[in-house]
Amino acid sequence: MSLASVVFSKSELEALLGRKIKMSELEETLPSIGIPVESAEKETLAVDITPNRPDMLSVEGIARAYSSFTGGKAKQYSGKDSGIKLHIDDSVIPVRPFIVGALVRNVKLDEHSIESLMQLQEKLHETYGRKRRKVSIGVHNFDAVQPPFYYKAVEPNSCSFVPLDMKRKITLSEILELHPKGIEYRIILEGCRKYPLLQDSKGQTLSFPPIINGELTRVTENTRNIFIDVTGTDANAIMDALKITALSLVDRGGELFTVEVIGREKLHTPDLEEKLAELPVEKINKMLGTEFSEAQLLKLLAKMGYASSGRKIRIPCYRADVMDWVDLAEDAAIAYGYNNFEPSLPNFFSMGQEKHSEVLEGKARELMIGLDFLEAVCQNLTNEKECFGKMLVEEKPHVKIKNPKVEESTMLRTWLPPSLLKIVSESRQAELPIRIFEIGDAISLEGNGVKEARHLACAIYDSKATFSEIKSVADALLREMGWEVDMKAAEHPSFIKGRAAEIVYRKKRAGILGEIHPQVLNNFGLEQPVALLELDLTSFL
Amino acid sequence: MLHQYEKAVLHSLKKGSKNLEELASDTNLNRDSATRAGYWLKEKAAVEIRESITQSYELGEEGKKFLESGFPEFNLVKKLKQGKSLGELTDEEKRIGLPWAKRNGWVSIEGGKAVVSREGEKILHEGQEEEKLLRKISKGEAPGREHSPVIKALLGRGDVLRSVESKQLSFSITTKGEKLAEEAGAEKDVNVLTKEDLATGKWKELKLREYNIDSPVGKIFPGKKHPLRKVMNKIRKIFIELGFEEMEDRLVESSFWNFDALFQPQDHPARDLMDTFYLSSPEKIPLPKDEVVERVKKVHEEKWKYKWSREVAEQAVLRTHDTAISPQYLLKVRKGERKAPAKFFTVGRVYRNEATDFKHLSEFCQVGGIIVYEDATFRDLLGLLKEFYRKLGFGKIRFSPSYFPYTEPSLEVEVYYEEKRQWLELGGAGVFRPEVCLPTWGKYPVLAWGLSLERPTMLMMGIKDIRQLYRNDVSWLREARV
Repeated sequence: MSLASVVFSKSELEALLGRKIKMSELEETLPSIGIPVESAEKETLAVDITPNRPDMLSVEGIARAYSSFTGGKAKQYSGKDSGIKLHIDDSVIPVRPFIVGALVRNVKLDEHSIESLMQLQEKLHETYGRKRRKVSIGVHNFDAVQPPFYYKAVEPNSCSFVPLDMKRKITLSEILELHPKGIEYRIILEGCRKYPLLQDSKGQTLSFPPIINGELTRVTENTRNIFIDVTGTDANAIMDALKITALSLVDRGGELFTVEVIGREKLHTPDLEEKLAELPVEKINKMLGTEFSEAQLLKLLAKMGYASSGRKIRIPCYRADVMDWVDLAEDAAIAYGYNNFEPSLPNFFSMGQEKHSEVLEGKARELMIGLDFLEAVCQNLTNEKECFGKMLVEEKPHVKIKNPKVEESTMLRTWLPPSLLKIVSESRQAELPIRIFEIGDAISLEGNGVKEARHLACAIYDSKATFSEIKSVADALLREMGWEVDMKAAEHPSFIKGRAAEIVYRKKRAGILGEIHPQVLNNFGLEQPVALLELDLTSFL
Repeated sequence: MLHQYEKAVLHSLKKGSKNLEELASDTNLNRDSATRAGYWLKEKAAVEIRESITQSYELGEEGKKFLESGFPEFNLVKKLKQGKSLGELTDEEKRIGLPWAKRNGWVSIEGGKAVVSREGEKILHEGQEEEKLLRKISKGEAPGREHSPVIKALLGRGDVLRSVESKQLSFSITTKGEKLAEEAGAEKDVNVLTKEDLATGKWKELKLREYNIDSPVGKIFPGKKHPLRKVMNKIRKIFIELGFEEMEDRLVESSFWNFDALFQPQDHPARDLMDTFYLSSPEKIPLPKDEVVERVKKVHEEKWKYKWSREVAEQAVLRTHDTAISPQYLLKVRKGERKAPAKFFTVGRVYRNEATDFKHLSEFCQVGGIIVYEDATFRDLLGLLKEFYRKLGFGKIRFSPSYFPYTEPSLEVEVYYEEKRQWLELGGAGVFRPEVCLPTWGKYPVLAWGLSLERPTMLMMGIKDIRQLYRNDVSWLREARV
């Protein structure tokens, strides 16, 4: 689960709620709404917002949820027609097809609210907007431009403007080369012959989505009227992002006006209509294990910001995540308080059953401990050098990672002995002898398929570790397990010639044992001999 | 009367003083027996034992790397000499190599370019002292006095060189000891009860020497289970007691089972290359030959409103959570291979493409489970989790709302950790959405959870660094208790 961290000051939240709140109250109430508090120091809170609730990526959204949860009335929003038109040119359809807009008038901004607006935009870009690829938002000083607006695609070198944080006009392709945001996000436009552009009726550039806005429409503390544009590849997602951004300004006292977007179809944005949903009382109660009445459920949902019309529930327009009745059920459960439910247990009988391979492994493990071996638990991630190179063996077909972050982890191990030798090499302070074993995964490729086998390996590290000692261990283990095997001399590059044997079970190779080759010991930096056994437990199943 | 070991030790020391290794090999005793006999003799003032600390060195992680592929500053000089520019250097050569090479006076920066100095040329020709020292130490040779400045420098530099102290015992005989040894020459040994003594009744005439029960004895270490295994087995036992069947699972899965069947849209950030290990071999895992694929496709396209791609679903991944196996068992129930109502669990490895630190691993374990039952409730889920943690020894837990794309309601389990007076997260759980249940099982609901194995283990053992659990340091394992 990827969480977005939102930082805000307590006084901002208090200003939005219109009352003082104790820090301890916040620390207790926020997690029960589903907003875990990461840190609360002095006046500053850092909280985690889950990806289903982009509407809470700002202090305004958090205040909205907090208010209704603590008894405030659910907010309902509406907008008047601004009369502004936003035209979509066909040229932009293949590049970045969707745009929506809104106008918020009479906003009073200060340092904090601008910071909050920037944070909201950044978080929406990062999570909901998939790093601006799916959704990108621009906020503009409306008074600097002249509607109607035009959204189109242009040749990269045919147009220039002054981007944010720069002093001179440069072309779109120069922006991608020179501007930090251009460099960061140009990958989104890779392969496009034309770039998207938003201009006003005088040909002034508002923004070059999804890269950068123009300096012309920079929002400052003096900005009163804000025009918001949202572009992207998903018509629903950009509408959600527009609503969330616009409503956070409305919560700060702005008045919302809609914009008419004219492309192949016409629509007024943002669409603030609340969807109506049935409230399936019986279904919800059955799943939760409760007996809430309809009235009780409505009351619980009101705490989560839902209004109702008769027997229908009105889904708040800013909630992008409510898909189905189960989402209503969850919100009712959150409002009731997860820790207020009386826990119960499922009322049917079933027999416990461990998996087949575990029965065998458990037995082998007990025997190894009886034979005085210490158990290791190793990771399967490794690399070719460790798994094959140091062991002097040829590479076998193995599971390879396409996108490793570190060079130590490029594959899954195909056998266990390298893991044991690594342990011994890293435990040089330990008193000898070291007797260590592992029962773990060995993963290889067979034909087109992946074979995930369970292996047992054990190693003795001591000046007196010999073939005969490890052979008697193998002999005891196999005898106790009741497996009749053949042993035959084997030549294996990891072992000393003439001191290794292959274990054969039902005519198939099922393991190997012997004294490790001095070159391998050197490769692992070992100072004493090692006698080692590996069995493929899967071949005895 | 002397023990036969004591006799052997005295006899050996008469020939000259010895350290423990020499003594053990000369007397043919093992180290423990030789030590014990030495201490008995010390009690009798027959032997003097001196303890001395000797200093030796071993290579650290970086040291091993440097020995193998060269010190970054040396490689840097070498590359510069070959005419390569700063831009062609590795990150390490720039970050570590450059400052050291400058400090050593091997290169100087002139006009933004690095130039190899005369000193640098000399090093290239003669080799680097640091490297020679590491080689010597890696061969097990003791460094000489002339190396001490280099040793000092390397000890202060990251994990290149480690200094190791070891205790040495040396034994020498006293005058009293020499006398004892002579007297003992003729004396009959009665420390050991022989088969003959027992059979003939001769033991009645023998006086068996009394031992000093305070003498140190050798430390022995039993074979035992790894701490993670102990907790894992405890957890497995709890679920089996509660009537759960353990699932047969896999580490390599298709994205289909890991993500799609769990209603995670194909552009979901969790599917990002930054978080998930994708595979280049095998690159794809074939999807099941079953209508479940069509049903999953349909629910994605209807609810998430995008064009679902089969290729994306076929991408092979190292599973990111062990919930990947759950929809496969739901399908088994649909097909009648298992009967509902049913309970399943698994404890297994999962993978995240993350950098590791004291809190995070790229490979770790999860405890997963599902209850497949049409009358199951959210309250049952809470009750089951409470019961599970109570049995595991965590009495005080609480639930908070959370989010997973495949559960609704979703929750997080936290345990109260007395020592820190803090709530710690142990795992997530929820009721599978209809979008998960219906395409697989065909019915609703399913209760599900994915809990941490390492977190409770760390709490039980009082350890802070999660990496400790997979390091398998033998000395640590020998002492570790859960």
